[in-house]
Amino acid sequence: MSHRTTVTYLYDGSFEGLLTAVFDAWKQPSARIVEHTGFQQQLGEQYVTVETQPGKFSRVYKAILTKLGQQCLRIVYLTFLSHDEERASKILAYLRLGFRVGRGINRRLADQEVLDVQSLATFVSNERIRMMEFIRFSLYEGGIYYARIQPRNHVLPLIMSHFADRLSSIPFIIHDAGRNLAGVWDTREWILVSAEDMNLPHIHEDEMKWQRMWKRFYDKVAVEGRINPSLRRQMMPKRYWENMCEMNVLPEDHLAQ
Amino acid sequence: MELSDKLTILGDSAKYDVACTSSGSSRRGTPGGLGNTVNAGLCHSFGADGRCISLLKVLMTNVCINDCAYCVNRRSNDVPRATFSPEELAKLTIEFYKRNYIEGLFLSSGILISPDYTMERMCRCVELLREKYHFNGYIHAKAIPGASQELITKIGLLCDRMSVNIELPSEQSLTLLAPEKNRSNILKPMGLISSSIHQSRQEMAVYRHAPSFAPAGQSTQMIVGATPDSDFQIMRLSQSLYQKYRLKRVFYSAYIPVGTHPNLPAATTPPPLLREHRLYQADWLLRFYGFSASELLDEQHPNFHPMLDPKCHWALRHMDRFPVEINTADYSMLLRVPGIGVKSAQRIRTARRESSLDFDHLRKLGVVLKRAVYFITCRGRSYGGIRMDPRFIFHNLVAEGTSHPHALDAPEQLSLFDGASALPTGGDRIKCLTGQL
Repeated sequence: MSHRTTVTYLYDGSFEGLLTAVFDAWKQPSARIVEHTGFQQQLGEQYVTVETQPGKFSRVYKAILTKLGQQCLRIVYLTFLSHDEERASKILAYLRLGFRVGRGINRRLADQEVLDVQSLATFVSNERIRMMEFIRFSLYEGGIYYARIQPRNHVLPLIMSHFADRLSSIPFIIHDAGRNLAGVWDTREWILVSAEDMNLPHIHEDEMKWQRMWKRFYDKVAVEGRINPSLRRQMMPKRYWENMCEMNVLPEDHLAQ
Repeated sequence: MELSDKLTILGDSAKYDVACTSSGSSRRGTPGGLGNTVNAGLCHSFGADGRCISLLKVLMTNVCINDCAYCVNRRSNDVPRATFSPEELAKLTIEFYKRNYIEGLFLSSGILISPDYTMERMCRCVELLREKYHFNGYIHAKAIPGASQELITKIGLLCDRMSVNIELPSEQSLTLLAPEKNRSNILKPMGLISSSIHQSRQEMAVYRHAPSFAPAGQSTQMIVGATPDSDFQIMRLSQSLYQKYRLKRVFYSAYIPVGTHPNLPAATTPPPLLREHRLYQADWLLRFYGFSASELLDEQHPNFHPMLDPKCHWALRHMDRFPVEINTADYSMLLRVPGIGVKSAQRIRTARRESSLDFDHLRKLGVVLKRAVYFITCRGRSYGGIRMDPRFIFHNLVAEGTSHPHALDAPEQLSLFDGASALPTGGDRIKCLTGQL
């Protein structure tokens, strides 16, 4: 066996880019796929910069859909949204196995390729639910509701339609502070935009009143005889607390006048 | 009185109610309306006791004409009292909902003036939410025993879920602690709700726009540990409630002393949290694992074992059914293996269609083997070092910390094997299974 060097394919971070990279890397047996942004190239390694092409994207997309099925496509997409650095390479390995074995792929629960993507996809879809639960909106002047989030995975595109349906007649912004992206709902459609130069109006004068009321309720509902901090942390991990008003000390009456 | 003071008092007096689920209803938003519902339910926060906070759980009023000994709101108790106006509470619900604090409203009440008067105020609040605010989120309302059929029917058509508290596991216990209540008074509205739900489902199957009555079904709750009823009595009651009234859930609430009364445990008694935990485990076995109450307990063993979960306890008394071969066993038998839950059983069933499984595969599937190893074989082989001897298994299960620190509260129950000297040391905390689902 001649030693094969790994070829690293760099894609632009979009889903289209990822599937284009899968197309380009397919014939290369020891390929890795990595997102371009923030990636440090090293001397002596072999790199290919993938140029995103709609044609290649839709060929891979349709092949997954027709040969492997909807469920597979969903797993690939959720894995793509995960925070794992090797996510793209794991998707490649999963698809390689998938096209070899066909639709039965998701029953092969004991195969590493399947386990890798399924556990990432589960993490993403669980965090999606957590964000649907733990987001806290605040009212700003002009009637806009704003929420700040810092999820590990890129779940923002997965939660927008839930809130758009729920708060259909209320304009809102969900701001992923870690990725500096904002999901904006204007009561007709939602879009994702960069939050680079987002200017928020002032917070509404009634807002703190409701936050304080909620926190008072929250502090009161725990039953004294069953205080259980570790169970709380398990159900509601600490990393989410920063953006939940009931878990923080609220400024008293700083807007009173 | 300020709204926030009312909220503090009326949230505080509702907190001993266990049910806080928002599941069972799936409804999309409406144009111009506010809210939708998600079938699995959502938990918006978790309190310092680790319990899920899904709904704004409050009482309409904590004034009450009854004097039930176990209840913090009893007439003779000296606590601050408050009453929401229907409009105040509707507005509060809307403001909290828009901020994503809650999934909806859980409305219960003490009895102000009369059951009908109270029920009317509750109805008014729910009506305001649905009609004035076009609120399309989750609403759970309690039916007040003794209220008229018309009012119960009216609120049922506006709610997602309804419940009537059965309060205590037996008629005798009710007589002891809640002299103004009786079993038939409680079962009557429960029966009415159950038949209205059933009727509405049938009509909806025929006419798409037939009005839906409590689409998320009916639940109830009872207090355990306030009276001497056994686990067996409780499980039999739950089973018949599930069968007869088609309840979605029965909730169990460990009695927390809220006063002194000659018929109550002493005020220093710690809440029987372990017992509550065991009842929830057994309740799951009834609903999702195909067990019946009489399999789990009987007259000779009327209470659950403090150191073993109900499934382990059952398995050790039925060693003739084990070991189970993972690759060929029926799905229903897989579900009966200690340590294998619904998810694991489903994954095993899926994966074994592709290839035969060994212990390593099981681990990869995420099956927790800690308890299961004693009861299964893979490709005909047991896990190394396992003996099919109930005594051996019992000692291992207990030593591995599947037990519970609170078990010490109930030493008289350590009777499965008289040689059980190993006392539990495990540090597990109680996980009350009262959250989602």
